Amino acid sequence: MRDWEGEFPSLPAPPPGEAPFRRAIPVGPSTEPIPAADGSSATPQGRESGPEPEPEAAPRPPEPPEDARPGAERTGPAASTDLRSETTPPSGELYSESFLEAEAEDDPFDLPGTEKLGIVGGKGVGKSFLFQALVYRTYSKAQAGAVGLYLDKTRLFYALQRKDKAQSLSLTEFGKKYRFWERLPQTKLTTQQWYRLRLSYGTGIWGKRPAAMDIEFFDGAGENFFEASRKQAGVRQLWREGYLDARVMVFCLPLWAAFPGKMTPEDWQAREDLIGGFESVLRNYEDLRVEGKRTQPVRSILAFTMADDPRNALVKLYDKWIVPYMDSPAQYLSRLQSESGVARYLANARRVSEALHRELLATRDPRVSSIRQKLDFGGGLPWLILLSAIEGKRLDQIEQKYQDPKERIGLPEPVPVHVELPLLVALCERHNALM
Amino acid sequence: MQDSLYIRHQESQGSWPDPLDEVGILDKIGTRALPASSLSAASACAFVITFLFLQLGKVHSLFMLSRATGLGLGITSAALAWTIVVQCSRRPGCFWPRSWALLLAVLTIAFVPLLFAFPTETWISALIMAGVAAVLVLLFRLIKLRPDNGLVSRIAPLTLVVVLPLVLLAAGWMRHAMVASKTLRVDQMIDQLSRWDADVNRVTSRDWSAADWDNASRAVDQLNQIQLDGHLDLSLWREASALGKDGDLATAAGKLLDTTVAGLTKDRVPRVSRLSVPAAYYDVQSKPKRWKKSAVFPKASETVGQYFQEMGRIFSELDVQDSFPESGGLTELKKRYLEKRARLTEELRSQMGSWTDHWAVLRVPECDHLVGQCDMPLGRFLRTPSPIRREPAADLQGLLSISYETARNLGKLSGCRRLLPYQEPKEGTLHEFYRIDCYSYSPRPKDLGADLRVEMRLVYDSPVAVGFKSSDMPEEVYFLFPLPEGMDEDEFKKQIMSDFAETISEATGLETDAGNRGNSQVNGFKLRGVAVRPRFVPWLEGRKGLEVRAQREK
Repeated sequence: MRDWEGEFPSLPAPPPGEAPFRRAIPVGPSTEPIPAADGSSATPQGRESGPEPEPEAAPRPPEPPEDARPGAERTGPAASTDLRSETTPPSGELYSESFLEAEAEDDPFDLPGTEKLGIVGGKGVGKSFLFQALVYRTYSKAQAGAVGLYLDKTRLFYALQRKDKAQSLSLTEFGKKYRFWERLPQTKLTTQQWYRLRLSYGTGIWGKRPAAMDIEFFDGAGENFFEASRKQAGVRQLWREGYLDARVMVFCLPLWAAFPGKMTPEDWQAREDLIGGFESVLRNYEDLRVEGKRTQPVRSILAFTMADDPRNALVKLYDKWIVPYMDSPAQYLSRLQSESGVARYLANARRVSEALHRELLATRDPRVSSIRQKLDFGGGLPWLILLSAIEGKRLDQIEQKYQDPKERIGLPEPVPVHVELPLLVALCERHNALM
Repeated sequence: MQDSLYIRHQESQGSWPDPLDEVGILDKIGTRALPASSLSAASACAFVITFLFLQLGKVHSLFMLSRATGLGLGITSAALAWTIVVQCSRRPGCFWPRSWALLLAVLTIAFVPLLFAFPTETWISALIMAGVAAVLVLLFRLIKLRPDNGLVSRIAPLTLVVVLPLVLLAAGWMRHAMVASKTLRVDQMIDQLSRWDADVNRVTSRDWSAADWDNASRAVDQLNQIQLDGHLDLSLWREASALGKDGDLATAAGKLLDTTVAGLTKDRVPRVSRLSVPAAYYDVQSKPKRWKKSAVFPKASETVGQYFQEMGRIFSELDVQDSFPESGGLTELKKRYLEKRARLTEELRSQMGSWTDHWAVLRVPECDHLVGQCDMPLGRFLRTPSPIRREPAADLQGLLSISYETARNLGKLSGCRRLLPYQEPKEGTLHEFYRIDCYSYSPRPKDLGADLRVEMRLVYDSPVAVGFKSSDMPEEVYFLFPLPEGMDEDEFKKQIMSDFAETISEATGLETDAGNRGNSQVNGFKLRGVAVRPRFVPWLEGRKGLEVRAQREK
């Protein structure tokens, strides 16, 4: 039991033999919008919430504001706000000057040799939360989990378009919403951004020579980018830039959508949307490879997000694989500081993956049981990872108790669970780090 | 009720792991560290195990790589080790795997010069093989493994289990082949020593008095085939000791040692003093009288010289310089060798006292160590007892005091020739002469034979009309020193006469009187009634000889 749990009202105990009671977090268009603090509309049910803007003829990343473009004299909140007022809701994710670190990069964002980590999935699967959690996990070497042995520090850059100069982002500011339990607004066409996470580590004969690996991530709008037809010129180009040469692809699908448990009819409808979106994403990626004539093997990871969602049927797995880590992160992170801890952790992650493969085969839904074959892009069957970027139950509790986000300052921060594994895969793909 | 109609997924797995749960037995070892570290540990294990495997046990000393094999393995493993260092240095990770890779690379490259610095040391070969094993295990760090690969936790133990037995098997096979080869080598050497012993025995048992020096020379030539250097070395003794055959080897070598020493005793060695005809002699029977050269002597002396040289070489090659305490056989042989060496020294010193045959001893290799000298200066030679009543040549008074009767009854004189009395006109009167000619030789520089160094004559002279009386004393002691080719006459005469005078003076305790201001003995001297006068006379084949005549003053 975590020491801060007492601050929240106790939840009723689950019936015997059932999963611990967790509030359903429905995702889908049927959810009721609630007013956001700034007056814009947002859906409270989905963790990536917010209505989509009106569909555009050709979804493209927005033109950066004048002051955010290369060569602009300054970037500032006013300019960003102006842009948002035209193209994005006020809760959009364009960064104000205060978010940017003083040291600006002169490099263009589009650097050769950058390792691309594709995190893809349909609308509302938690891609942005996953990336936020992943960056948060690498804040500190001591808390970086399975990659802590390798990392010295990380830096984050972003750009609206690949041709832009890379802007250095303060990790603290970037993860502010995440750390203060704020729901991330759903990524819109206008808020799509390129991120580059720079992982610094020591190499050389003595391990003292500083080196770094850049990992690119494109935070695209789920519905209008991942699931949209790639026949649209802008989308096709973005897919190509973002994922064509990625050697590691993370495909996100909520765990409960793959392994549904006790759900309402609305949940079943939402599941249909998620599975359909996932298939669209897969189809888009396969088409991209065919068009791009790419035959190189790609390591695929199937990330079962929202592992803490009570709608999933794998209750025992949740209890064993998620809950202990989430309840005592310090204990696990401490043990993951040692090689033996990481080795054992990876061995168990493989056991979970193997068991999840068996679970997939055991599902009655052919769309789900066929996922494992569909994700084999020459690099073998996918690694199945179960993760939780943010605890949904806790998020609901905090939202109820502390409606003003400012009141949440000082609360224990979210515990992302198993989110760093894709980073380790990318590190191994690039540097064969384990060996 | 409505909910039960939905197709809910049924969790099929009974148990799921905790993130840090204990893993199965197969993964237990491999999850003690990440593959980079566990492979490094496996590599270190392979290094130690292979080294111990090749070093432990009695036959460990038999594992010795040839230079070419050692060089090839050493360079290959060093190249692979440095490849690992370079490749792995580009990765992030912990310090220990980096340091082990670097250490291994440094070690493997250091083993190569060590192989040449200590070519007979087995631990170098073991280190090289251990390096190969360690590098082969570490080579698996170059395999690309992703975190989801099941081999991550098994690669280190699997590599150790697969690679190490293969390396040990290969090393064991090599050692087995080496043992078989070394056993054969030791057995062959034991057989060879026995054959060599028989050969030496056959040569040394030969009757040298037979005049067939061509056959004798061929027999002695066989000794040249006995080459112990490079065969009976320390490596062979180590191998024999490891195989438990050092006793047999020592016995065989000991027999050869005994036979060799026995073959150098005075009774067994060939000697030129046994020849009836000296190297050169003045034939008083021929007309006109002239110097003649022996047709047999060159071959005979060369055979004798070669005999001493070869036998001395075999003896010295039986001395194994190094030793190691593990071999009782070698220790015993060395002890025996020292005993035999003392005996041989005594024997050869005795032969150095031979007026005629001492030169052959000088042919023995390392004669300075064995007998304390490798030359015979004239002074020392003149003090050597001559065959005639053991009187040294320097004792002119003594030689001139040997009566005619005594001389006639001296019996057989080794290295001397007793001439039958002959007549010859002298100062207008016919005189009868009786001579005993003795010859001494020195090693010939251009081959293994000998050259005449000095001829000494004890000359009795009496008018024919008077005839010899028993009490007649020698008319003179006559010496002839052949002038060495290329040597200045005056220099030669000066050297001979000064040595002669000095030796005589030391031998008798009397001062010589040269009759000149500086007392220079170059042109002769007197000593208590005996006048010694030198002059050059024609000798053999156009050469000259320095004639030194010691006569009583009348």
